[in-house]
Amino acid sequence: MSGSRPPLTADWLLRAILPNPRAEDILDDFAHAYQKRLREGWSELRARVWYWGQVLAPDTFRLGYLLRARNRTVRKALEKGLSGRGMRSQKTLMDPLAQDVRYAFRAIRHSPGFALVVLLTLTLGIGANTAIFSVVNGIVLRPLPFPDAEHLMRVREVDRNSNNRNMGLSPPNFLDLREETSALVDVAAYRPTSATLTGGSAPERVFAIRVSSGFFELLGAQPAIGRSFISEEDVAGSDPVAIVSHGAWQRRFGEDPAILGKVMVLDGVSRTIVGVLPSGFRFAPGNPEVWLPQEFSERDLTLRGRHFLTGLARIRPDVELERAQEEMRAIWARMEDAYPDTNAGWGISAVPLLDSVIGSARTALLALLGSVVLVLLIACANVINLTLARADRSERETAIRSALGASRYRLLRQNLIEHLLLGLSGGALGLAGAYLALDHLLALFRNQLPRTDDVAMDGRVFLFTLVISAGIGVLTTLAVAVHQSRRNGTPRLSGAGTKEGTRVARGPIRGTFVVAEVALSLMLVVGTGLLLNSFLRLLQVDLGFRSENLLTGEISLPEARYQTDEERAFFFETLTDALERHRGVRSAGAVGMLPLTGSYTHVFTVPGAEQDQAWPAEDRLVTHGYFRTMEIPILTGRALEPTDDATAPPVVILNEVLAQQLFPNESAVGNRVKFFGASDDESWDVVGVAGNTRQFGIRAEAPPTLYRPHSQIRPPSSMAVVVRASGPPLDLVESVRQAVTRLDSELPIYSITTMEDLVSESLTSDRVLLLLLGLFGLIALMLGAVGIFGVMSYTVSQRTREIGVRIAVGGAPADVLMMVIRQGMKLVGLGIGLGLIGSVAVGRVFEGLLFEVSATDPTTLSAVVGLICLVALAACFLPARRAAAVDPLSSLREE
Amino acid sequence: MKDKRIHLGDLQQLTMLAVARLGDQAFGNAIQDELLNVSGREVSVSTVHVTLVRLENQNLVVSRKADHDPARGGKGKRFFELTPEGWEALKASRMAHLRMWEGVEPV
Repeated sequence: MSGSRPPLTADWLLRAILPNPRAEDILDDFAHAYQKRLREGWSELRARVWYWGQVLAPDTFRLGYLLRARNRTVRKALEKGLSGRGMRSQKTLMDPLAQDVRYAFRAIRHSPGFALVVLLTLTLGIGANTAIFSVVNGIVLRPLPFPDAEHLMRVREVDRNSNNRNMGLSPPNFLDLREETSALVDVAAYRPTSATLTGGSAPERVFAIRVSSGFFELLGAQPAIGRSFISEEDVAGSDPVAIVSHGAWQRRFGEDPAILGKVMVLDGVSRTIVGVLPSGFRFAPGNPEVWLPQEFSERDLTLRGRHFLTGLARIRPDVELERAQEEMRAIWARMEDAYPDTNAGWGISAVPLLDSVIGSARTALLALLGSVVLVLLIACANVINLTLARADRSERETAIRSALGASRYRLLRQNLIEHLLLGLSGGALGLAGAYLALDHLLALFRNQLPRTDDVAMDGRVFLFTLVISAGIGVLTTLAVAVHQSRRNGTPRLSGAGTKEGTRVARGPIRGTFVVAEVALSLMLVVGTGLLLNSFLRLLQVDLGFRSENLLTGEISLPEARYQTDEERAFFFETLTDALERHRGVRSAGAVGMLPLTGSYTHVFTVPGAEQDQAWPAEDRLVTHGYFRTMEIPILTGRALEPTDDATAPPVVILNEVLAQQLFPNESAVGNRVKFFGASDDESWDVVGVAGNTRQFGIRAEAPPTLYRPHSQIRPPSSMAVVVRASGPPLDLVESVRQAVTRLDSELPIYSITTMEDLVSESLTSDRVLLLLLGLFGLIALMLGAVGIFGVMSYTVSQRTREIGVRIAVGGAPADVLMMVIRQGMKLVGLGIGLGLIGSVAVGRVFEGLLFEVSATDPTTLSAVVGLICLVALAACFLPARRAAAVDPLSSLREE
Repeated sequence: MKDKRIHLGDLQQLTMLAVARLGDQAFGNAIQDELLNVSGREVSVSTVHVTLVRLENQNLVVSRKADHDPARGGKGKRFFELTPEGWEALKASRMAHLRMWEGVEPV
């Protein structure tokens, strides 16, 4: 039957002329006519010629044109959700999947408002999540940048008498532990310090870390050039050496390949450089430039009570963490028995290095992550809600498509593709936004969080973003599918499709989302409110000194040039005197350690007290001008005098807490105190009691503190200078610098800042957290308001006719207004109730971050409920006003 | 209302009548044959379809695809039928013709 087939070329041409949905039908008719002629006895040649004539007839081209125009119209009609006039959905030769993708793009393009709102919502929600997850990932989830980092532990001594406070290891305890352990590969010790670098254009203070031999090996690091420290360098007396960081090698030595053997002068000591660390090596925040050996002095090696080292240990790969900890406790028990004077009452703690590094940041990060997840949930609820509203509007289109033969599966797949497209676009935008925001976020966190250098967008972050973006797409699709299937199966073609009548069926699911959004926003805003309340209280804390108009700076005297007690005491005495004579300076003083900058603890007791009567207290060496300058009140007795020097009998001033602890039943003034373990001859007169000052940040209560004149016993080489200015304190910076240079031209004064900045800095993490949570709370409120507004507007538009009837039969617009508001606020009220229950959980997360505010603080809760009500009212009001303004005539005519 | 009246061309009227006469058997070739056999008008396949598409565009005719037809290699034919508007337009056209014929002597 080869003759029964029309000419292939002509057929091909016909296909090219005619567009697809009809081409096959018409081709069939052509072929039929061709065969009929053959049956009527036409020769094949004649039939072929006739066929070509038919194909090339002007009407064929006219038909092609008409059909194309018709397809375009139908497509537009379908996109607008208008009647397709019985058109079949376009069936092309294209891959159906590609077709669905194109369809999805078109659908999105044709509702730009919807797409814009959804994308904006998703960008905010996903972006915030990606950014915070990047931070959490870099800090908590990523392993530390050392080989087998999970086997590393930080080892410290803990003071069992003072709430297990973490203290350092003392050198003898460290060496004994290192000797006796079998569960650990090795133990090393380090201590951050700083040193004055001279030899450049000006003396400079550099950050340094002293480490024991074996430290770098323990971390699995090798110097890129040269060697690491050897065990001979652990004790003083060996040749002074130093290792420099890769950054210092680049900056200070111009990447000199022949750096080994070069000399740098630190604190007046010429040190030979023996190594350069590799470029990626990071151990401590602040990136130390110089690494020095421990160089323990003979005195260091005998004092078990001086806790200035941090231990670093690596567990043997075949040993469990618990067993290693057990072994350490056993070793400690033996050491406690062997040295009861110093080790009794102390314990040992060994925690995984990562946990120790993260420390308290975990709570804050958890709170942040929890908050952004709430934001994401709200965003999700909003997107689903908007999508449902849109699905209702395009109900007729769906009906047409399904009437034209689109299967449920196909419709679902198209929906899925469209929502995935939106979700992934939102994810991509969110990712881009998070990428741009991450640097700013890290700048906020720098110095507040550990490991900020390890934060980067890695594969895990991308996967996280991908999963939540796709998840939102799938969830939305499911919600639409469930929503549509609930409505008695097939969508309706009839004109009333978007009008009332289906309201009852649709009400609950939308209402649920409003309730959820309100509840989630409330939880988040409660968190923010609690933090704000706590922050306001922190600002009102009395620190015990006046921080206004105070300039501070630190000075370290190199021991090589200031070897004697007299030289060191004389320097600080002379400097503060010189500063006090300066114009604009009201008074000046110096202290071993400023409040809010750290802890320096010794254990004290009263002569003649029982063996176990010991009180740890902050030990502060001060010049006589310190109390006057800081405006710390002397409550009883006297302040320190210039005459309380090395030649005078040693005196001390206690703060109120310590005076109360040592002398609960009598006046402290006139009594004597001494170091725990010292003989009664080495005790000091208590000459005064000073007011309490906070030392460990604003949150912690003032600790027991003891003030000693710096010049009497072992004057310190490092002190912080405080200057009370009569005007703005920063105006004095140059004068203070010059005063120091006049005394010693090789001496830098560093960390110059105002006391107010120090106070404010100690609140930075609270401020950052508050700022971010405030931002998330605001986003949540906005999204929540948009959600309520959307649902109420939708409800009003659904009820236009009913409202029209109400007004037509005499209902007052004010009643209509109230009716809509009441309906909205009913949902809001339900959401508030659920949110309040949820905020108990929020309170639990936030508990550790709050200061003097209970997690269920009634003031905060009621303020937040009030705020949510206000926002919700505003969101209900606009749709309600539109309802009240319904023109009964036109609303009825619409039908 | 006045301007909404649809004016049908000669071929359109004949095609619609062919569709009406064929009932549920109105597909491309059948319409073409009906036009030839009843009215003597020979038109090409393309012309029939051009006319049908124009009628569809005016919502006077609708088409539907039949499931499948073994006689056509399993492919389904496309069948046409008049819409209510189509019937109205056809009737109006007939009335116009009848009115115009009134008072004209039959030749």
